[in-house]
Amino acid sequence: MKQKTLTRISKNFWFYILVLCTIAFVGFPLFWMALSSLKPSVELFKMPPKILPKAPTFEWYTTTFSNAIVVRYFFNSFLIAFSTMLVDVVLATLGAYSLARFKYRGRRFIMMAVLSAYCLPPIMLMIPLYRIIAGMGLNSSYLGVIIGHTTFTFPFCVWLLIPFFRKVPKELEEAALVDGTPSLKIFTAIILPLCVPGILSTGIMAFILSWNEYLLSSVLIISDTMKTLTVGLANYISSVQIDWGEIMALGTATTLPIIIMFSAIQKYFVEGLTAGAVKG
Amino acid sequence: MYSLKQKRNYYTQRQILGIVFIIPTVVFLLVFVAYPVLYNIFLSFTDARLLKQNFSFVAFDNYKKLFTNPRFFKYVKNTLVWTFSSVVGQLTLGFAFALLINKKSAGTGLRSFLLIPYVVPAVAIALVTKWVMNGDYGIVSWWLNRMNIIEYRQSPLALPGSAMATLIIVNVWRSYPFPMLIYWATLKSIDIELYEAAHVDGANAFQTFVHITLPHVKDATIVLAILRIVWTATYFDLIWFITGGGPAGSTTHLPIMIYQASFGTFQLGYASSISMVLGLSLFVCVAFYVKKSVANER
Amino acid sequence: MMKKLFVLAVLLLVVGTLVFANGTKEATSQKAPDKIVIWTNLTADAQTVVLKKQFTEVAQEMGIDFEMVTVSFGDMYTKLATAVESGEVPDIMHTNFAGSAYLYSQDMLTSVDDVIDGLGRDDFISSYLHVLNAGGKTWGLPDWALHTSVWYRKDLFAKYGISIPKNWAEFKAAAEKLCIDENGDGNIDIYGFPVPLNAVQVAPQTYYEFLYSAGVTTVDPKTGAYTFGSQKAKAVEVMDYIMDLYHTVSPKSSLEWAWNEYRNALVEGTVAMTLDMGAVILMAQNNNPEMLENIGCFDLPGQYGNKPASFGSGYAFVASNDGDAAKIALKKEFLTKLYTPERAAERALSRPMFAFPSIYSGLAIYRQDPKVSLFQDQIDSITNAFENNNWYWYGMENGLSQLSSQIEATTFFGESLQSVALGMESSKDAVDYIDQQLQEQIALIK
Repeated sequence: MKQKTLTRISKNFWFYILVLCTIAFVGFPLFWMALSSLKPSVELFKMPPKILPKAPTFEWYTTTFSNAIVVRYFFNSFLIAFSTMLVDVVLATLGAYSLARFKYRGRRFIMMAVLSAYCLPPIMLMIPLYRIIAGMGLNSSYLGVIIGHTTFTFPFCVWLLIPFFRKVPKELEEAALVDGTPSLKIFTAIILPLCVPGILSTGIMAFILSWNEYLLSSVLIISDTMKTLTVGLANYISSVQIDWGEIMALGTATTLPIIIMFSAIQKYFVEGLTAGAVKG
Repeated sequence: MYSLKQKRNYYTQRQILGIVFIIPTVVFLLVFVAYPVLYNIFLSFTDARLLKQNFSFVAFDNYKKLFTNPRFFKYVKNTLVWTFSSVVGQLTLGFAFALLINKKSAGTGLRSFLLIPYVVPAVAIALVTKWVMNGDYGIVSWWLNRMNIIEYRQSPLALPGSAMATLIIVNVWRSYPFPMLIYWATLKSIDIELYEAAHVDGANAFQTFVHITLPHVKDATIVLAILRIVWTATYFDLIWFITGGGPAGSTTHLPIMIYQASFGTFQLGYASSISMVLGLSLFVCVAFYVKKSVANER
Repeated sequence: MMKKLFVLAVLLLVVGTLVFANGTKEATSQKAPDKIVIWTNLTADAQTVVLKKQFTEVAQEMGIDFEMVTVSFGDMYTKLATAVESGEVPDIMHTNFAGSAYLYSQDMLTSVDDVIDGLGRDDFISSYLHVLNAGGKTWGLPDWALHTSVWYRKDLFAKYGISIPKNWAEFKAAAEKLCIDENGDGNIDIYGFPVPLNAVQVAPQTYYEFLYSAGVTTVDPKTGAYTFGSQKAKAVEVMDYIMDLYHTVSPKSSLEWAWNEYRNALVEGTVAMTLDMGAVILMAQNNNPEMLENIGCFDLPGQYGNKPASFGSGYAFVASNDGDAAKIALKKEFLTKLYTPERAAERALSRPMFAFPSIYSGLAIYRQDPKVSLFQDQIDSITNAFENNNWYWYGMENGLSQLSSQIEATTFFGESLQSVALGMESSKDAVDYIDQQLQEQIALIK
């Protein structure tokens, strides 16, 4: 048994080395961030730096989270990302279903528009969008930021959802239609339940995109108490005082929930993306 | 059995549903995508400034000003270097990792792990980068000094070439998962019999790679390259956080220039004209991609 | 039929939204008359705590509500611009002199001469008032001011037998002597003088301290006429001197250093001198208290000895001019109550040796505080510089000017200085470019 494992390892020796290098390259920044957040000041500012903390401490986390505004950042990010997710999921589900399963004039054109919108970069929308949202009197309000975030996540969501609706066998729908089931009922009772994984994973992707967004939030939010985590974190560095320990702690705390959420849904995400986004 | 009329009734009912469902999407696209784009075009022909309500039409003045600004061409060059190096880097790495996770010995665990950078917030990775590249306390700066690549207490972010190189590496780190995924899906779709047949014919691993694998990923590569060029050329956050366009403007690309024109000197009209130049140059790419993708639709 | 209805519905929605998007500009809600909204750019804990406490006290005394909004200094101009644009200006704003100039240029301020007279004009340090003056009126209440000096390691000066330099040649010689390899490993452990050149605000601050010490100004302090263009030869000379320092006595990464890095370097003992506004003291108190007694300051010498001017700025309270007479009176009453000597001193002491109160009565209390007891000589030399009316902030040599905020919000100074430091551009070309940009900014303002 042991012999067998050994031969397997030696046979694939280079493969495993390669995997290790890969893990080191990909993991280094994240591990370093987490490790730094556990090092006390003396170790953080010591040259040459040691990889592992000698006397690990949670002091950076306690100081960071004892600051009321940081807790507020978390709340803001969550509120905005969650609302963006809801709006996206509801509207995109309807839109994607329509695009996937109906035939009407202009459908192809709308599809092209969705895809073009998906390619449209936030930096180019920044000024007009700011003006529109400010014009509605919504700048420096949660609603304004949610609208901004929806703008760049929505096309992505529609595009991600279309393949999930496509996958539902047409026969199911046709059979129900022949039975005289109303169309709306077909959608709610037959199609939707089958697409729940897809819808859920799309929603979580929208959540993640919104959680990570910086540019529009930074332009639309004025008050400190409304800032999202990314904006707050960015200010940590541009401010006059830089506490690397706190920054690393907050960075870790910002990243971790996202990684956990993503790990939970990535199976569906992989499915949706590989099926739809870039069909050569 | 239903009558023909009833059937048609159902058909109409269904059509209505489809159209009702698409309305929010259409409205949304018009208000928050089409209108801003048109507004942007309009602004680029005015001398609009943040703070001033009144503005006048200046025809092509903003564009003239842009094309006579010597720094503009420097920033265009930066944009090109940043975009092409990043795209080549992430496609190469994505492809290499796709080959890796496509191996039987690689479990789904490795795939999940390699996907993580896709969702790491740009600001988090940017802050880590600044920390490890800190001239006084950064571990990477220290290693580089040990290897005699940089001076003592120097930071790679304070030198033009290495600042850009750092940004590109970090960007490749952040964005290879998407190409990896697409390549992986493409690799999986290659008929295994092709490889078996080649093996029977006595082809070695390299030959099967060149003659079977590569041709199959050609299409995916083209599409990926287009998408990634568009996203990378317009990607703002990472550079803004790590270098802010410095040192000496060596990492200022057009999105940073747009931001500075908007919120440094408040010249919205001028900023819009930069945005237009960037947008139009990328439009070709987008159009090609959209056409290719929607062409598959019946 | 269907199709037409559909198209119609979409059109209606679009038109509706567009009208909504553009039409609600005027409908900004009226703020409640007995509530005051205050913005401050100070986000450091020590400062916000004091401000919040004082605002609470004053609001209670007056029986009104207040809302304090902190807007970080880094994105101050973005936020100010967006707020001004959407008509959401605060009632009272606590910002630096350049920020005050910016608000003034947007016609958003009410003059506060009556408040100053009520408090006693003589109690104010007159040069503070001068900066906030435009068109014969004072547009803000100076809260405190800061002054750039050379903060240095007294112990190292003593150990290497260095006396306070009296001109630039001596300054450079001192910095050279202070490049020290403590452990003999061939690497310099303590650098003489870092030249911080971060493009956002820091590079122009470094440059201007030297420009003023050599007699170059952006505009004429008396007439306000643009003078940088006619002093370009001198400006090139100054730039060359800074670059010389950068290449010989400064760590190379200082090209990207901002305030935090150079202050930290002095406090942690990796540089021997640095230009600073005294914020190193608070940092030393927090991070490395043992270093405190080793730190002192002296005024950067003039190029050939006598020094025409130095660099500095400060914070002010300004009141917006929106609202009726009663509302404006309320704002002014609020401001007046903030200017008891104790409160003025307490606010400045939240940033000891960085901030110096604007009223003499406050300054007297300030001096007696244990936080600054070590630095009586330094207080003398800095307040002396204030009183002699020879410190300016870039672009504000002749009182309030928006040019100053344009210098702060842009990076052309930084980009040019960095280019020269990296050998990508000659100092002459860089100065020409700066001149051209300054003129362009001035044209934009008009």
